[in-house]
Amino acid sequence: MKSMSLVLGCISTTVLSAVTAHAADGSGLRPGLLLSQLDSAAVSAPFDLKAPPPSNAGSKPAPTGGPLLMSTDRQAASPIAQTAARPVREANTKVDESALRFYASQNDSARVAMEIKRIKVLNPSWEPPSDLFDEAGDPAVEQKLWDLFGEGRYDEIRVAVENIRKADPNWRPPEKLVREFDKAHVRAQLIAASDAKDAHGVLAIAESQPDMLVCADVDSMWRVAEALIQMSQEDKAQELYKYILTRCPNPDERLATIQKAMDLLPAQAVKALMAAARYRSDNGSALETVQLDLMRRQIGAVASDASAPPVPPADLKPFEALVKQKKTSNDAVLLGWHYYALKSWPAASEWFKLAMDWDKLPKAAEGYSLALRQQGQLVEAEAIAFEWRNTSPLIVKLFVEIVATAITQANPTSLEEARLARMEDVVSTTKSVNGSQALGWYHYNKGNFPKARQWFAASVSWDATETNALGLALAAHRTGDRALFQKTIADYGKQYAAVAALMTYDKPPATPGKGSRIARRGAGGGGGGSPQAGQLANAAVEQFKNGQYREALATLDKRSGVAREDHGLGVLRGWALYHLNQYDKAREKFVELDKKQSTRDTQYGVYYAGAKLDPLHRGD
Amino acid sequence: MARQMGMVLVMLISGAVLPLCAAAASLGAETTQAAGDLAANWLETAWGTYKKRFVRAGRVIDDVNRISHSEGQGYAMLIAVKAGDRAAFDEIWQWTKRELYVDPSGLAAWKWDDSTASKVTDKNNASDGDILIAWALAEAAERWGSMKYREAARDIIRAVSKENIASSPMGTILMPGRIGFSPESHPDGQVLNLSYWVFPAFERFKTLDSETDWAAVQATGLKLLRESRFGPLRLPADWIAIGSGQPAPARAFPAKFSYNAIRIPLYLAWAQLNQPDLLRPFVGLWNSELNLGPFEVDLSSGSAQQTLGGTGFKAVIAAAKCALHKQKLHVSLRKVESDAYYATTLHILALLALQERYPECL
Repeated sequence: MKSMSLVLGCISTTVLSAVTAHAADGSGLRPGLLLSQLDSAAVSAPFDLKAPPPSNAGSKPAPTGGPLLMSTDRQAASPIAQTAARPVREANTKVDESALRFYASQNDSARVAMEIKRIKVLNPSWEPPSDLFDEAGDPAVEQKLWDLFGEGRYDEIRVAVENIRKADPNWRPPEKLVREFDKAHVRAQLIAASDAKDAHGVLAIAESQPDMLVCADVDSMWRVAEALIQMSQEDKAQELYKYILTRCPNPDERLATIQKAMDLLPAQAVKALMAAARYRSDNGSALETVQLDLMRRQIGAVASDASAPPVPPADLKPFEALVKQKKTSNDAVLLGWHYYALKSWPAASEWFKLAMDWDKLPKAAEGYSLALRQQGQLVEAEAIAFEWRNTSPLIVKLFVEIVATAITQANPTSLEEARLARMEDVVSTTKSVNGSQALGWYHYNKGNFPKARQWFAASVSWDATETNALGLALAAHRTGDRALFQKTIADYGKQYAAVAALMTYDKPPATPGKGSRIARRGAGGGGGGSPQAGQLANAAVEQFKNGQYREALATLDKRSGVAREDHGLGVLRGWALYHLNQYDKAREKFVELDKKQSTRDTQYGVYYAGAKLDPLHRGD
Repeated sequence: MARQMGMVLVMLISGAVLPLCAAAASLGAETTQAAGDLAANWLETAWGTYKKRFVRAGRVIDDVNRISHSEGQGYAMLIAVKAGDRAAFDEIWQWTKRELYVDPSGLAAWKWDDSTASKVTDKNNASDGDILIAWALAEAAERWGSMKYREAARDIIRAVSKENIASSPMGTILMPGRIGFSPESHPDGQVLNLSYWVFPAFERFKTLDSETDWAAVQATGLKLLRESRFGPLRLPADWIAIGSGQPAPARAFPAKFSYNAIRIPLYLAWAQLNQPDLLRPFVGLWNSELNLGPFEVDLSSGSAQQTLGGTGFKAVIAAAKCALHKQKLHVSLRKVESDAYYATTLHILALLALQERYPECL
């Protein structure tokens, strides 16, 4: 049995020609639509896409009035009329006649007769309906059409209607169905165009069906507005939104309209719309909400991109006051990120702190810690992150990152035992790849190679990266564990070029503990040449230690005018370039040095400059 | 006179099989035309079998009712002429003329019973029998250019016209027989049988008998049919009465759609009357996908009763489905099965109707 259940029709040449003749006189079938359009004039005054924008924004509803009322009346009246038209056989209410009507709708008399027989056996007093095959007024057929309509099977409705009309040329589908079908048909086309982002198509359809832009179909109006915006007709879109806001009855739809406008139009236009919407008395509280949303949106835009249009202080101040009054911690966090993005660290930390105090929000703590760190309050930042470490994986990560940054700086200070212990504890617990390799480098730089090797090994076991594999190989080399060194290179050399590059390194290890620090080496190798050159070398090292990389480079340049730059100062130059984010030049320098004399420092430099990455940001 | 179909099919009365008069030699031009998936010689095959099973020396035997009747003689003559079997046709006609046309009215006695001494005990006629015989004679006259058949046809038609055609408030009606159906005989008025309106025959009669308004007879038949939509299934009853001014199931008979009325869609289709609204109630009576029906239907409830026994009844519905929906003949109906007399007859007639009027459905 075909799924199409409404093959009611019969085709014969006379009937077909009768239908054709019927169509020819203008009242018959029309392609695309069920039947010729019925009283479209009765539809409520729709939004006029082609009208020039009214001079008076926020005008009152049209004085012709009543279109809204009329459409509401009609909708209310129709179902009643329908019910009245259908006879109800009260005695038979218990019997399920749906199958019977279904078979009848297919003109399947054999099954109808069998079904009647079956029902009669179960309900001897039941009398079958007398209108089973009365196609014209058969509620089953009409219901079937409505069912198809409800399921959006418009093509099948068209076929069914055609079939019924072939059988009974005088039959016409219910007016309401025709109207709804036509509307739905056009609407489906509009939605298809809209979904396909065919703004041109959307507007063409909307213009050809001027009566579709009515409050009964706000979704279509939204889609048309979107198309207008796509076609750079923001003014028209704004008018359309205003039409909805000032004339449509559903408050939820009006609120959603403002939200749509907010997504698509500049804040200024949205404010104008909200002003227009205020004419509606029932908009008050909803608009307040919307206004706050609009505010949040603007603040959020800045928070995620500092170059977004700034929020005017005149708007921001009252909002901040409201947030403090209502103690809305999420808004406080939002303000925190807003100021954080604007690099207003104190204001950011103030809002994060407030939010933390009002509600124990991990997000607030994270922001607070970050804001403190940005202000150089590393100890406080670390303390906050440690305190909140169990509330969010992001905060643990932040804690590890703060400490890792501290211990892998060019001139790290030694951590006191307790801080180091809690860092090691957190890293072990969280199996932080990032933290473990930072600890590896920390110990490595301190000359504690066994400890370094231990952390690199842990880091590699959690998740091998180029950095920790490199660290493990170097630490193995330093501890004289040739087997581990070779194994590490064998395991990771193929994957990581920097690790493979250590192959050339496979020679009797240097004495453990012999200085590897750049600064120390730089300082140690500062001599040679004139006293001036020696002074300049010391000055450069000093400047480098103080983080004055640009100055250090200038000093080195000056010195190179009077003396040849030795290996140590070359490495210093490389790292100075590195710290100035001039990775290309840094790498070039390290490669040059490495060719002349490959050392751990040059290897290290080549790798990091080449990766253009701080080792801390690899891994996790 | 209501058709009775017994539960037990009684097999052929034993007897010598007559030598066939070289029926195969008389293949007509129409019958050699290939018709779709229907075997080219289907009619000869079916007719040959039909003769062997139901025809004895010109007498056609209704194996279920164990009698012969004017209707059966007429059907067999019609099939014989369509099959181009002049010898068989003539033999059947001679038997019919000799045994049934025994009344001065010029109409056939409807029943011939071998088990009674006088064979014909009721000289009343069944108008459809006479109409079928006259139609077959008219076809034979044209096919074989025989004036004898033509005159015989005209005589019968005039007799039907004189004895069985009458005017009524409903228009010109065809009475089922000379006796027993008049308004005086029945409290619910004139009793009629709509399946006696053999619409395809009326076309022929118009040229043979200009004195009778056969178009009016046909129009009344269609009008009555249109108004005889009884019960939930809007089907005609086998027998109707028109005394109330509106057709109603006749009280003297069960209010059923049954073995009589099943022929109505066949005649409608065959006559190519293009009355889709009249065909619609019939086309659903056989659900070919489920092979359900056609049923005898209790009209007041619309409830299915016994399935009409035989493939031929399905073929009738198939002919209607073709006429209405251009639906192809169901594959199971291409071959005429060995059913009882009536079903076999209707099967062959349905295929003939399709072949003549709707070859596109074959």
